[in-house]
Order: sequence, then C-alpha cells, then structure tokens
Amino acid sequence: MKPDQIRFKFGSVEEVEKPLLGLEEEESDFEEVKIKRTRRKVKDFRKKMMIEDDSDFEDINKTKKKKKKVFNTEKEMEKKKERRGKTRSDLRKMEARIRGFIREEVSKVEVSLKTYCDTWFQKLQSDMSQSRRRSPSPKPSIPKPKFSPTSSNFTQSTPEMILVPTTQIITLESPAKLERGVSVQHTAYRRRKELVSSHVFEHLDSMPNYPGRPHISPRMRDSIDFVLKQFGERNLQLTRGATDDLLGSGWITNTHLDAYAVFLASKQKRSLGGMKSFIYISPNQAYYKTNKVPNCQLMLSHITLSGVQAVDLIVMPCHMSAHWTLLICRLKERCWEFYDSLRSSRHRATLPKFIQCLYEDASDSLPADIMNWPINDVDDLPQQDNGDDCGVFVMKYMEAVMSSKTVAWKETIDWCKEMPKFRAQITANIFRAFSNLIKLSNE
Amino acid sequence: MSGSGAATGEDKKPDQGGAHINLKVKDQNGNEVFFRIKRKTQLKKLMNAYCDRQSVDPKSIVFLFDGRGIPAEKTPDELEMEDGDEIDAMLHQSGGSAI
Repeated sequence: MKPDQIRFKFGSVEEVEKPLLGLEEEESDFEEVKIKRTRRKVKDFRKKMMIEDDSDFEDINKTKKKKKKVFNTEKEMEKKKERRGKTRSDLRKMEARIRGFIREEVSKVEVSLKTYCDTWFQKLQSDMSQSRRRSPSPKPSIPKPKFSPTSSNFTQSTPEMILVPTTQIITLESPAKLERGVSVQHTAYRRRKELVSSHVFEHLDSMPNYPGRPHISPRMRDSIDFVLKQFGERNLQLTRGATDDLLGSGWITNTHLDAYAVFLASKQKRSLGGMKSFIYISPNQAYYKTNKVPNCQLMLSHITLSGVQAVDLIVMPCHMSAHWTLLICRLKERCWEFYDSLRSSRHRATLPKFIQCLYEDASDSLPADIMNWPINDVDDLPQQDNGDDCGVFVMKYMEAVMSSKTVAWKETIDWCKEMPKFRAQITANIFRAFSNLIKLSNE
Repeated sequence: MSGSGAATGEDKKPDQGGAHINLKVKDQNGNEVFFRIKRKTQLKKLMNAYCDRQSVDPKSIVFLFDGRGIPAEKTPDELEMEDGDEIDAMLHQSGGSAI
C-alpha cells in the first residue's frame, strides 16, 4: 500500500486500506499522519477555493495536539513518503520472514510429534496383538522428539526460560531483609523446591563455617544452608542468633530445647512404635511459675489424664542457674531418673522443687503419689569437659532415653570429641522438623 | 497535621476509651517500667523502647501477656489490653554451666 493510494474527496477521507496483521501499532501512527496530511491538503485546497466552512477540521486539529512538521515543498514531502514506504516494506519483509520461520518450526514439531505418536501406536498395536496377557501399559523406548527451536530469539519466549529470572530474584533477597512473619515461611517453603532443584547454593561465603560442617551428610548441610539463607532473624521461633549459638559453641537456651522436642516428637510419630512415647514439659513452665507469670498453666495445657496414661515417659529439662539437666519420669516403672552431665549433689538437691512445680499445675492428670517416687541417678553418663555444652548433652540424653533399646552408657563413645558434629546434626534435625511443619500447615 | 487529625478521630470513638493506654512492663526481678502508648501502635515499638532503656538484647528476652508470647506486630487493641495491664519481660533461660 503506497501513500498515494489514499483517495479523498472534498471534506472527508473516504477510505484507508486496513493494515496487515501484526503491524497495527506501527501502521496506526502512520495512518494518523497520513490522514492529517490529507486533511491539510483539503484545507489548503479549500482556502484556495475560498470555502470558509471548515470548522469540523479545525476542531479535529485542536483535539489532536501533536505538532506536525510542516513540509514546505512538495519535493520534501515526496522524499518523506519514499522513506516511509521503505521502512514499511522492510517491516513487511521481516514479518514474512518471521511467519515463515514460525511455520517451519511448527511443521518440524508437528512432524516429530506425528512420528512419535505413530511409532508409539504401532508398538502398542504389536504388543497388543502379541499377547493380551501382558501388562496393559507398555513403555516403548522411543527417544523423545526435540522440541527446542534452534534460534535463540525464540527460546526467550518459551515458559521454561521465563522462570529463570524469578528464581534469580529470590536468590538475590538477603535474609536480613526478610523481616516478615509466618506468611514468609509459607511462601519460602513454596519457593524451596525451585531453589533446591536449581542448585542455587553457590554463594556459601556468607555461611558460617561451623566446626561440624565436614562431619554431616550433604543433605543435612543443605537443609542448614537453606534455612540460614532463607530465614532472617525473628522469622522462626528459633532466632538466627540462637542458631548461630547452636552451631558454634554458644550456650543452649530453652528455645533450642523446645525446638528439639518438636523434632523428637515428629520423629516419634514417624517411627511407628520404634521410639518411646513421651510428654515434653518445657523448662519455661517451672521458670514462669517461680516468677509468678500470670496464666502460666498454659505451658501444661497439653497434659491430660488419658495422655499421661498412654505414654511411657515425661521428659523435663531443668534449668539450674546456668546449667541444664534432664529429669525423666518413667511412668510404667514408677520412678524418676536424673541425667546430669556435671554431677553434683547441689544440682540434685533442687529436683523436688521442679517436681512440685509440675505437680501443682497438673495434679488432675498426674498420678497422686508422683512426688514420692524415687529419683534414681544414672551412672556412667558421658560427662562434659567444658563450660558450654551441657544443653547439647541434655538433648542427646533425651534422644537416647527415647530409643526403645536400653542404652549401655559405659560403652558410649566420647561425646566431648563429637560435640561439633552433634551440634550440627541437631540444627539440621530441628530445621527439618520445622520445614515439615510448614509443609503440613500448607497442606 | 494529618497525625493530629487521626488522633482526634480516635478520640471521638466512644468504645475505645481514649486513644492511649498505660501498660506496665515487669521483669523477672520484679522491676516495673511504665509505658503510655497509643492503642493502635504496634507493640514492637514498646518492646524496642524497653530493650533500649534496659540495655538488653531484644533476642534474649520474651514478652508475655497473660502467659502468652506477644507477636511484635500486634497492637493493644488486637490483644484486647486494658488500661494498667501488665506485660512480663522474661529473659530466656540459658545454660552452659560455666563453673
């Protein structure tokens, strides 16, 4: 379509040829200019003819505020027209080329699909005819057809490639910026699969090089790295700072113990009777009770009479002024057991206070004479050799006590040497338990 | 200007009983600190102010209202706090047994 082909009568543009498909945007601008130009011509013509009634045209010109280049001479106009015609013909050529390309690709895919289907169908038929007793779902070993277009221009528009930038955005988010609540955990979990599958654990320079790192399995390492990367402080109940303490050689707080109990509970559920069932009493209970925090019975809301009758153990870590010990109640054997990684009579003397705290708030559901049950010391326990690890010892005692076998403490390995490994393992297990919880809440 | 306008708007609401609320923060040693905050302010602000004032690490402390941990994004209105209510600021129990 050349610009000359636009025909006009006096006062109105009669007809403009419709643009080709796919070039509407370019053409529409072009049309406007053309229409304007024709109108100007008409106007000039009218002025020549001394026709004054051209108010319509003035209005239209006012609404379209775009300034137009005034072509003084006809030559200039013609040049311009030629240039425009050229660009348009170029565009049309490009379009034709692109269409041809698309047609080629589509036909290729079609052909490969057709061959694939044909061969599969033939195979299916032959299988059916050979024997009908065989399994009804034969898996023909035909190589999959290649759908990938060769041109790089077109791979960009395939959906697989669009996904890439979004994962990049996720990896760019620094954990410190993620100061959001639970909802972040959920979205984070949804993104986790992408993250894990695309192996984006490359920038591990910012990760703390904790001493237990070489001692644990790659899967555990991955789960630690994932959480450290994904969760900033305050997103987990277990804060990032607390995690650093656990991975390094910091002191253990009640949150660590609570979190580990969550892991043990989930492990117990999955073990299907392979582990002893237990009720966990948070050390906060005695702590809040001695400090007279209102409504501290909340910490024992999970204890019921039927629950206590059903389980084997009550697990109760005790905080004794900067020291952690473990008190176990064996409900079937009707006795208490005391686990101390730093044996001293001073620690033992405070135990009745803890039992009393527990009994006072849960007297309805506990056996009446539980206060009078004997407290047995456990001999030959692994002992700590420094001033930091008692919390980890308590966690490991908890795990050992819950195993169905009786532990021969004399034959256990030296725990002090294994401490870095234990700390890393515990962290990984806690993280795994938490991610399972998030998964459950999403479902 | 807009802030003052919002405050007067809150005053007009009769069921709120004033835009401000007095809260008492009590630590485990029984020391009390009083705060006066708007009912629609997030309690995060109070927590940070308390930690700054007592020069404690916010991570090492847990705030309890009626035995429950307080989410930092909640406001007194959302937790249905009343004037003069008490918040407990408890340090986390930490142990390693340095001898």
